[in-house]
Amino acid sequence: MKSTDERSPRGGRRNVEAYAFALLMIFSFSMLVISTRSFVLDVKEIGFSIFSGARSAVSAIGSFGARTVDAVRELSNLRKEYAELVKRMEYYEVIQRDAAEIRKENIRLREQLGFQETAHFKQIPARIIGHDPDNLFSAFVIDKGSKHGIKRNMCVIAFQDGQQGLVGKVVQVGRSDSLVMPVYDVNAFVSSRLSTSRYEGIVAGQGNADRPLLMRYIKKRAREEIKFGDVVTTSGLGSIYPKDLAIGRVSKLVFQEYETSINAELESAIDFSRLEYVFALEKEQRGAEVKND
Amino acid sequence: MTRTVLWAIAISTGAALIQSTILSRLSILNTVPDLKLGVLVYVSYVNGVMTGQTLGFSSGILLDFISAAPLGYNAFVRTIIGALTGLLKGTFFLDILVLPMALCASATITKAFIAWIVSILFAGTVPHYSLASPILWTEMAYNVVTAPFLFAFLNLFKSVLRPRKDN
Repeated sequence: MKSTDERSPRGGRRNVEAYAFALLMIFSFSMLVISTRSFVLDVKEIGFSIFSGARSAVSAIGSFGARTVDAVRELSNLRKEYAELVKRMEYYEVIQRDAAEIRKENIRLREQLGFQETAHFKQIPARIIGHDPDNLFSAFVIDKGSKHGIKRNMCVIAFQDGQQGLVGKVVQVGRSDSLVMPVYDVNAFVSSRLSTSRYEGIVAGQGNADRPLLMRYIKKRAREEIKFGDVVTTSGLGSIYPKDLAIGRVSKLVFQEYETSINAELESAIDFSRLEYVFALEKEQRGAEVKND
Repeated sequence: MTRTVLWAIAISTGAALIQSTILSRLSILNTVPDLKLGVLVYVSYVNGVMTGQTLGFSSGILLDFISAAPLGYNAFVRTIIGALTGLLKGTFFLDILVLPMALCASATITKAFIAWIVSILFAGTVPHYSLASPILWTEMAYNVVTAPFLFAFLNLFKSVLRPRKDN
């Protein structure tokens, strides 16, 4: 079949190209207009789902080589660790017995205090398998999707150095993988609170993990009370992020005399450069479970 | 043209998946080379405007699906890049080193410029490259360095990626 380029005279071909260009421009721009107003999310979700399996497959091939080399090395370490773990398990068994006693006592006290139900969060573990293919967008891909229970707007956390910290939220869910918008994304806004002085603000990202997070709209009178190193946590306002998740620590105060609020730069609680595993949080009611324990 | 576009879409999709998974582990300053842009530039330059803009649009839509970008963003940006690169078809001799590097550098700058325009039009809801940030320059350097290798690789598929009269 001959192409359009070959069979049309030069002028006519240019016209066809111009019409086609205009058509494609209008079409893509219309989609952009609609999608930024969040009307076509379902279409995007379908597209994301189609590629979710393929991305997992490519990632699996890539990591297979690395895992094979690691596996050999790990095997020798495992023997040593096994012996240590056996000893440690014996120790934990003792602790567990104590903990069971404390739990029972806790339940009794809760009942006395009149707590009927407590919201808890089920953690869905996931591995980061990739990043957004576009450098402008900072989202990353996790290997769990709707079939694993991941839902849109789920809060995502991670544990590093024994501490839990906020990572971001799920923005797109495919069948077997999902897209997570990290807290340092320019479109991420988290309602937050300074843990010592209790002042509120909004934490926003600057688009890059290497740049500090910004806590905005802190009351100006808080200036004297904020200290470097103060921990900032989620305030729990809004339905996405649970309360008291560590976001970061104050590293710098930014303010102008004429402004009514001050900003604080935060060092993120999570080191994103070495982040491999995360947990998506699903709210669950555990009132009944607590009673039955 | 249809056959070329379909093959190029397949290669672009593969490039996007590799970029998103394997190359993201080798990123410098959180930046990876834009292989899809290289594929688009190559196909547009050797085939002309119509093929370039059609590929830009269709590969852009697919990229929008797997990225956090709003639907239509990459389609819009890449349609323009495909059309502009297609206009240059046959202007210069396509060597193995200089022109691929120059084309990919220009395409990266054009992409950043269009992203900036889109960001203004949508009141900052869509991110854009900052001239002061290393992301743009690192990506451009990456694209320039990988361009000769990418073009050489794509030449292996010239029976399907170039117009039939060239083969």
